[in-house]
Amino acid sequence: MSEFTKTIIRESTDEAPEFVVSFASKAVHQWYNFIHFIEELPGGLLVINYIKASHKNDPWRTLLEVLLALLALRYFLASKYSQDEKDKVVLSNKEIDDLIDDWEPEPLVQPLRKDERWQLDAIPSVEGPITKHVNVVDPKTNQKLTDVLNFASKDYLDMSMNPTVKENAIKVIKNIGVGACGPPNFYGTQDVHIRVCEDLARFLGAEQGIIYGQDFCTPTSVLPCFLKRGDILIADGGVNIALQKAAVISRCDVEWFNHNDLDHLEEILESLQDVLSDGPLNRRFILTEGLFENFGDSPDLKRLVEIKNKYKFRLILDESNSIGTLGPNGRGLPEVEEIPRSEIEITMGSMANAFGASGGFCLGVKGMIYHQVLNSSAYVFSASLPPYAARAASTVIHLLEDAEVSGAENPIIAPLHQNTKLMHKLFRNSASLKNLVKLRSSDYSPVLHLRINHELRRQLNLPEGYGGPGSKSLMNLYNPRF
Amino acid sequence: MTTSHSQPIPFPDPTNEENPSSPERLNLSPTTSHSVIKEHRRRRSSSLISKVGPETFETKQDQDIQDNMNATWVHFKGAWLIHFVILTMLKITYDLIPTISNELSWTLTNVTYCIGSYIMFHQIKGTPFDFNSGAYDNLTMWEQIDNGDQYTPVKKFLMGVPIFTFLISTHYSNYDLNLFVINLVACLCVVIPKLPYSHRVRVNIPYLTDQQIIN
Repeated sequence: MSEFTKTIIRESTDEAPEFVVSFASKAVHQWYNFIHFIEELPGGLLVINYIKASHKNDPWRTLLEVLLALLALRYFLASKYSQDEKDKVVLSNKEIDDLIDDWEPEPLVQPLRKDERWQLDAIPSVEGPITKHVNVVDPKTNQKLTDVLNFASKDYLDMSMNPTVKENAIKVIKNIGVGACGPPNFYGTQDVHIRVCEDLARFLGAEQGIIYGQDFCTPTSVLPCFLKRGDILIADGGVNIALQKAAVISRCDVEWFNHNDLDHLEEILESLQDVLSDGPLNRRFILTEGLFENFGDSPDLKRLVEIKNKYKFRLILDESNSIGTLGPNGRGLPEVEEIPRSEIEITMGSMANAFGASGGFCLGVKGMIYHQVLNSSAYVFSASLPPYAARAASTVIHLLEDAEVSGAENPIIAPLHQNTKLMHKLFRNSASLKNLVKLRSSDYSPVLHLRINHELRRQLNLPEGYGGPGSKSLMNLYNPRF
Repeated sequence: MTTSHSQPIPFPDPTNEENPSSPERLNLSPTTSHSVIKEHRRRRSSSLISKVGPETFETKQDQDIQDNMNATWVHFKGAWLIHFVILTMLKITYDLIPTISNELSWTLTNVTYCIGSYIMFHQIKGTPFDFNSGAYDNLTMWEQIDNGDQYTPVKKFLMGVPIFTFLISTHYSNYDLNLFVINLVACLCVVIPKLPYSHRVRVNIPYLTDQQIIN
């Protein structure tokens, strides 16, 4: 028996009752046996010595350490659980069977409604290439109409039918075939792709360019590269559907300002000041179009650049419709407003409109482009632009550059400008059309935007808009007083 | 759209010729996911203790796009071994400095390890990679490990290391009271945030920490 236990027994015999003494002596004996048993175990002596050395007559500290060891033990013995499991609904087998029995699959293709049938039957089909003049088959009479003037094409400069462009494209197809056979980073980049990037950058005065296989995918791929949760995008409410989708999938905070209303934009920027001033620094962009696809007008770029510089935002400009159409040499809105391209941090555009080829592009400083090479989903994962389309776009740019005359309009683009003005003048001054439609686009827009007159709309019982904020269904949803 | 806003959303007068249709006068955003009047941006909490809200459907989707490489590496064998390698290196480094006693060197090893692992596992939020559109921006690395599951083998191991280091370092620092307190505080600073009760909990210390982003 150790010195310690002896002391306890001696002290307790002095005044304690008999049963306590016997109980204590039994407990001490058991404890002694237990310690002895531990000592007998392999490694037991080591543990006892460790505890003896640690204890050093400080029970509080020992208690703390034992508690910590117990906590660790409890943690190690607990079984794994998932945070999500609480949210999951567990169904019994019978419930699952019931649900399956109840399920009636909808037909993969719904039968056509009467109006849909009518609409399908009324669409004339075009035979041959879609160009300035097309051959149309009337769906009702099956009669062929040749050489019909096509108003529904965005090939503004008729470049897809240009003999030089066609010849160059055919040459490329004969040499290397039609497809690029892979994403740009994986065998999909050929010399023609590099050349068209250089041509685009030179033509529009940017540092570097990058091309995409499809113009619709360009913004939905470029925007998420530079915007994520917590970043801020202030977008014009009238931007095209590709830009709207891009804004949403980038997951950033989007603010929308009234279409071309820069006062409203400034108002939003002012109201954001206190939010912007605190917290971690985020990326901030303003998004607008050079020539609006939905409206046929342009923003006041000079003031926009002043605003974005004042509030330290970056500017994203979609020039899908303005390149090749606006400006004396077709260099887009900045050429009209005499603003250097460097003021626009990200320029996006389409090669499928005025360039008569296909695909989209993005222009800006080197670092911005290089970031996309590694980070842009469409560039990394999608097949690259067919080489002949790249060559066609390159040829168009060279044709435009070669035709340039200093101090005058580019002779290739001048007819487009004249026709655009003429068309707007005719539609604007027509007395008979005045009661039916309203001309919405600006005089420089190559696309005429006509809106059905409000009175006529009411008489025909048509809604003010479809799906957008002006539409009846949404109005009822958001504001019951309508 | 919440109905709590007393002010009705100002709508364009549809009979007004000047506002013929949708986005010209924009009183609703083109996207339904972003209403015009909204709780602005990331919600910050100024209370002392707050909890990060549950993920939205979109965020969960973004988290599932790709393996979270910021958290998966802890499963590698080397990632377990490196803790002991680092501890040994720290001990050797502190031993090499003259005038530092054995007791102090153990304490410094423990404290350095705790500070380092606190910064790595519990302070820095988000991921260094750009794959998830910032879907993990509100979560610490500890909360990202195993998608937030508790009591997984990795978490047990990572919980065990600081406790083991504490016991060793207090033992070898010969139970000097000051050193013991320093060791204990360092150990608790990394053990408490690892407990399941601390999952997604944010502590706000006035004048010391920034306001915590909880949504």
